[in-house]
Amino acid sequence: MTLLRPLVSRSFLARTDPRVRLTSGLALAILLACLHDPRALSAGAAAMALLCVAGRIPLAPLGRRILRVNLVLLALVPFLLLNPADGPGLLPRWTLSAGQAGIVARVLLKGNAIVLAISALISTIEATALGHALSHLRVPTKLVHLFLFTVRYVDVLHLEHERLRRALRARGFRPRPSPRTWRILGQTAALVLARSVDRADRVLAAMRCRGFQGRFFLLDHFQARRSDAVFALAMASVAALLIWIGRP
Amino acid sequence: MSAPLFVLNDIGFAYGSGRRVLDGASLTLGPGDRVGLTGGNGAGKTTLLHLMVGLHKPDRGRLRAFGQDRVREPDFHAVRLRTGLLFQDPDDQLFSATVGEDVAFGPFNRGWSRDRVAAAVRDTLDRLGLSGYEGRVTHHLSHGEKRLVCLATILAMAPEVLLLDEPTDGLDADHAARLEMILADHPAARIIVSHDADFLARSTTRRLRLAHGRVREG
Repeated sequence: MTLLRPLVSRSFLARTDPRVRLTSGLALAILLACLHDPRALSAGAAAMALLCVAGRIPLAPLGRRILRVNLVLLALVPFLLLNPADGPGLLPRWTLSAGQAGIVARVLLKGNAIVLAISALISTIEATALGHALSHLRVPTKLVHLFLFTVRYVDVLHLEHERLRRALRARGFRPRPSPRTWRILGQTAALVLARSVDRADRVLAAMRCRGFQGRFFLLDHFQARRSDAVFALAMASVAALLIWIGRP
Repeated sequence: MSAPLFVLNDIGFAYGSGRRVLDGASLTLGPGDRVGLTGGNGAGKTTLLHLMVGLHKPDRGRLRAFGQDRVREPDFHAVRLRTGLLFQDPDDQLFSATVGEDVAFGPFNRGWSRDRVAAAVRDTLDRLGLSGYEGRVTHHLSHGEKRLVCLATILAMAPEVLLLDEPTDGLDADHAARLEMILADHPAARIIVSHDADFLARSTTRRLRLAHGRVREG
C-alpha cells in the first residue's frame, strides 16, 4: 500500500472508536474555524498540540503537514495588502498595519490548530474504518461506497501507472521538456484511464455474478466502550473551555 | 442419470470487433461432473464461462441452466446465485474494503439473514484456513491470499456449480496445494479452465478442449 496511509499512532487514540474521533475532530475543527479571540485560538492550538504529543503522532509526517499548511497560509498574506477596505487609495501599502498583523496571526493560529486537531483525531483513522464510521453516522450509502471503492482501487490504479512508467523507463525513456515527452505522458494517463474503465466493467461483472442488484451491505464493526465515552466527554470539555475563553 | 445442470447447445458468439470466438459450441454439465477445459490463448475459454452466467449473450444456440432456458438478463440472476465464477484477476473480484465484507456480499444478495451471513462468512474462512481474516483490508493481502479470499467469496454462497478461470495462475506451490485440497473436498460440479495439465489431471475426471469455436473431447 502506497497511498492513503494514515498517521499511525499506537496510543489511546488508535483504540478510541473511529466514530467518536471523527465527530469530535470535525466538531473541534469547525469550532476553531469559528473562534476569533486570539487567546482562545492559542489555547486551542496548544490543546491540540498536546493531544498530538499525548497520542504519540509520528513527528516527521506531522511536521511536513504543518509546514505545507503554513506555506499555503503565508502565500495568502500578500493578498491582505491589497485589501482596499483597510485604507484610502488604490495603491497597496507595502507594510502590514496593526490590524492586518493581527489577522495574519489569527489565521496562522487557526490553520495550525485545525491541522493539529485533524491530524490527531481524523488522520489516525484507517481509510476503511473512516468509511464505516461515515456510514454509521448516516452519511448516504452511495457516498460511503464511492469512498470505499476509491480506497479499494486507488492503489490498484497507482500500481498500474507505476507499471507503465517502469515499461517506459525499461526502454530508455527519460522525461524531457519536449512535446514528445508530453505526448507520451498524456498517452500513459489515457491508458491508465482506459484500463480503469475496463476494470470497472469487470468489477461490475464480478458483482453481478454474486447477485448484485443495486444494494450494498456493511458488516457491523464498532462497539463503543466506556473509554470512548470518557474521550468524547474530554473533547467536549476542551470545546466548552475554548468557547468560555473566547466569550465576548 | 439425474438432470443436467447446464446444457449448452450450438452456441455462437462474436465480440463487437467481429472476432468470432464460439461457433457451434456444445457442452453438458451434470451434477458431480469435474470438467477440465483447455485451449489456446484466445480460444474462448473465459468467454464460454462468462456466457454461462450471462455476462455475454450468445448470438445463436440454446443455453439451459438448472432446468430452464436462460435468455435475458433477469433469467440469469438465479443462475448466478447458484453458480460461483472465479475470475482470472483477483483485483476484479474483490471490491470491498475488508475481507469479511467481500465474503458477506454474495450471501447477503441471496437474501440470507444477518446471523446466517455471519455464520457463512466464519465457516467459509475457517474452511479455507483464513480464520481471523474478516477485518483484514483487501488491498494489503498477497496475491495468493487474494486468490483464496476470491474462492471464499464464491464458496460462501454455497454454489452448486463452480466455474474456475485459471484458479492456480500465479500461485506458489503452497497456495496452489491448499486451493487444490479445498476444491477436492467441495461437492459442487465444476468446469476448470487451466493450462496446468498436471493440475487438471489430478482435479478433474473429464477433459474438454476448445478450438475453432467448438468443444471437443480430450
